[in-house]
Amino acid sequence: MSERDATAEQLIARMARGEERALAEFYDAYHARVYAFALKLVRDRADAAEVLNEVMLEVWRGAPQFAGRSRALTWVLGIAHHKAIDRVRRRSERFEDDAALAAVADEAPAAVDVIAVAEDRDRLRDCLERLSEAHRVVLHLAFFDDLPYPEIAEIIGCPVGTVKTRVFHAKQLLKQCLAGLTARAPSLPTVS
Amino acid sequence: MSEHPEELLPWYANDTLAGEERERVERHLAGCAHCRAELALLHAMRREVKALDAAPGELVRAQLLKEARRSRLKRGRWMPAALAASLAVVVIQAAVLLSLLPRHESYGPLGARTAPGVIVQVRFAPDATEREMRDVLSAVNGSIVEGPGALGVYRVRLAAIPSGDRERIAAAIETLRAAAPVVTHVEREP
Repeated sequence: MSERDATAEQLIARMARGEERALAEFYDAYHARVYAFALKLVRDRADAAEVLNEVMLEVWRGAPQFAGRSRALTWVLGIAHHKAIDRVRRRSERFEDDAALAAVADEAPAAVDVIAVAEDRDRLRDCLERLSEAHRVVLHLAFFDDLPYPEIAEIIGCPVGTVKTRVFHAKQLLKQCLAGLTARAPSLPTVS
Repeated sequence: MSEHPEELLPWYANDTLAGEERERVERHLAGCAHCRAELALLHAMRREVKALDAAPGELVRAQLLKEARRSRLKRGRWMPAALAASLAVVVIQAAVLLSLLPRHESYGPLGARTAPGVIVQVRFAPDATEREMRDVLSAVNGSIVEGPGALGVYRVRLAAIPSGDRERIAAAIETLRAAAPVVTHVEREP
């Protein structure tokens, strides 16, 4: 366990004893990552701020039940995922399912053929932003938070194989986009 | 999927792959130009995701959220519902505030206290939208220089009004008060 993880667990233990100061310290340590992750899902600053608020209250209330089976970051991002998905669903939006996402990634060029294009940061950024919600969420957890795939699976509540294939498909779609072949996944059936 | 370990490469790129999987990828990379190129693309993606996903105005937002936390702690004991409501107001308005600030100001201080003009303290309704807040501020040629404070109060500078011009100050305050229910409180700063 890293020093940071140990500190987070101590903070959660102090919260479980009702120490408000521990919540404040936990908030300082994690609010930026929770907010950035929530924003990825809800795509609205005010909604992301509300999710952040809900997550921190849930952490406070749930601290006595935190058993240390997960890292604190995994636990808190898992709560954030749940709250953010709830919020998006309340807006009556839908997420694309994996079958739809998988159907598009087969015919991608090799990286060597698009790596020069990827050096153009504007182009790379544009293609990243065109990826689907589900793809951008796993890329965020993999490359913004630098999390291992088992933790990402725990956070978003899916098998590790799904996490691996989502990132793989995201890369394939990105290459298609960089090569100018397609903009993003076509609109296929969705699940709510 | 080919024999290339492409599904493991992202976790080699973010340095979280360990043990046998890491060794397998390293062995493969040593002899596979295709996967080295895929890895280079993943590194580029990681670099750009880090830049792209960092929230603009991070410094200002952190400052505002810290203030929200302070206001919560000052209340002495934990009152979940009331605190949830008050924090939500402050945090949401922090987000709204960020969208009202010009981008180039997002990384700087919220406003110089020495600039000319009159300062009024304004509190907006919890459900006030960015557009409503912007319209109210535009009506008095005002700009937010600080806030939200502990109670969700913003300091608004009325730059066009000299501090001695009581008539225009009163008129501006009246305009702000007339913007109820978007505006819930206005007073000139002492």
